[in-house]
Amino acid sequence: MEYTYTTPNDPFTNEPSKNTIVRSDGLIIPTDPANSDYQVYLTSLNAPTA
Amino acid sequence: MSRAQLTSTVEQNSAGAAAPFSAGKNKIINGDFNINQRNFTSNTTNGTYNFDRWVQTNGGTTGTLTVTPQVFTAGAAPVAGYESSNFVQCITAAGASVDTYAVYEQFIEDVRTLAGQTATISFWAKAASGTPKIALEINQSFGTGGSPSSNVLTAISAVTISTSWTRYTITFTVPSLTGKTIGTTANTSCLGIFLWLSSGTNYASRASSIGLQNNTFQIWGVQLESGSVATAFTTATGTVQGELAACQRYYQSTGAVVAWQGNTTSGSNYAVFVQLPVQMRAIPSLTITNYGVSGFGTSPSGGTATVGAFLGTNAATSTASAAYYQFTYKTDAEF
Repeated sequence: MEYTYTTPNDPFTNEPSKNTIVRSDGLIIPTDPANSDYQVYLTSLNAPTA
Repeated sequence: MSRAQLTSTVEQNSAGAAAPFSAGKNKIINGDFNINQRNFTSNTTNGTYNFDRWVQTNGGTTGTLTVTPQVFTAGAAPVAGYESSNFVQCITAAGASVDTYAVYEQFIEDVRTLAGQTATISFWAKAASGTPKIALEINQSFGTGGSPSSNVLTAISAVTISTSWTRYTITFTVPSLTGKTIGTTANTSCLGIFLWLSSGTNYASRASSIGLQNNTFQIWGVQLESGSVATAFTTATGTVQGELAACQRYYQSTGAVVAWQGNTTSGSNYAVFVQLPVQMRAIPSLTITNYGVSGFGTSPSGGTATVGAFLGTNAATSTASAAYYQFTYKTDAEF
């Protein structure tokens, strides 16, 4: 399944969050290198777009 | 006579002498398929966890793998004297291409597990028909961070199963870690246990040449232990609550409803601190589901998380004296 990712605003600072990324299915992914969803996200950044 | 010999398979199958319990001997968590936090009823999707700690991997041009939970009839569990509630059923179908694969897997945390040692895996299994095979492959994964070594895949061997519950054992040597580099990010390396159920020729060398198999496999009582003897089956922790906690290091779905209630100012953000019942392997991914709101938006979100807690935040949509938001959550730190 192909997902897209967005960086939400931190609700308290209203600036882009440095801690979380939101996947298109609503999953909240921490920016933790040990987290497997974050590893997939990092891989997607390097994936060809066309 | 050694302790291992005293707890031989023969004794267990014949309901012989009670085996001495040794917590932690079984490296497989949820080997008796008693924990099903996801409440799955049927899975066909590649890469999907179903029973806790267990994940299916399947694909190829053709071929499906359908995993379902099954319930033992009381008195019908395969080991006399050890009643169990569930077993797993894996149905492979339509496998007809060279790239078909169907594997049932568990990733055991820490690649150091049994490294360089003699190990024995044991499990009970039966097929719906014929005499299909189940092959064992192990995958040493060295984690992330720094410059970890590449995965080491080692094909072990296959067992031929029948249409009645029988315990099968495979003894093998786990490769040494000499010369390998483990990733610097904590808790990211693992030992993968792969039970191959069907394999096109592309994967013959990894799957001990079991070939394409369209059948129904039922499995229970998976145990991986040190040594060359399959001792009496126990779960990794020996207790229901212990096994649940062991599973919750990787996934949690408690069903608990978290609530925040109080005075609000419209447009302001509020947060509730949620402490997880078990510290997780890594900072988990969060799924937060609205349960009910008054004076808040219906999309509570997750703030900063750690391995042991997270913040559930929401923005007030009204200025009120008794506004609230409620949510449930799932946390996932599987491999």
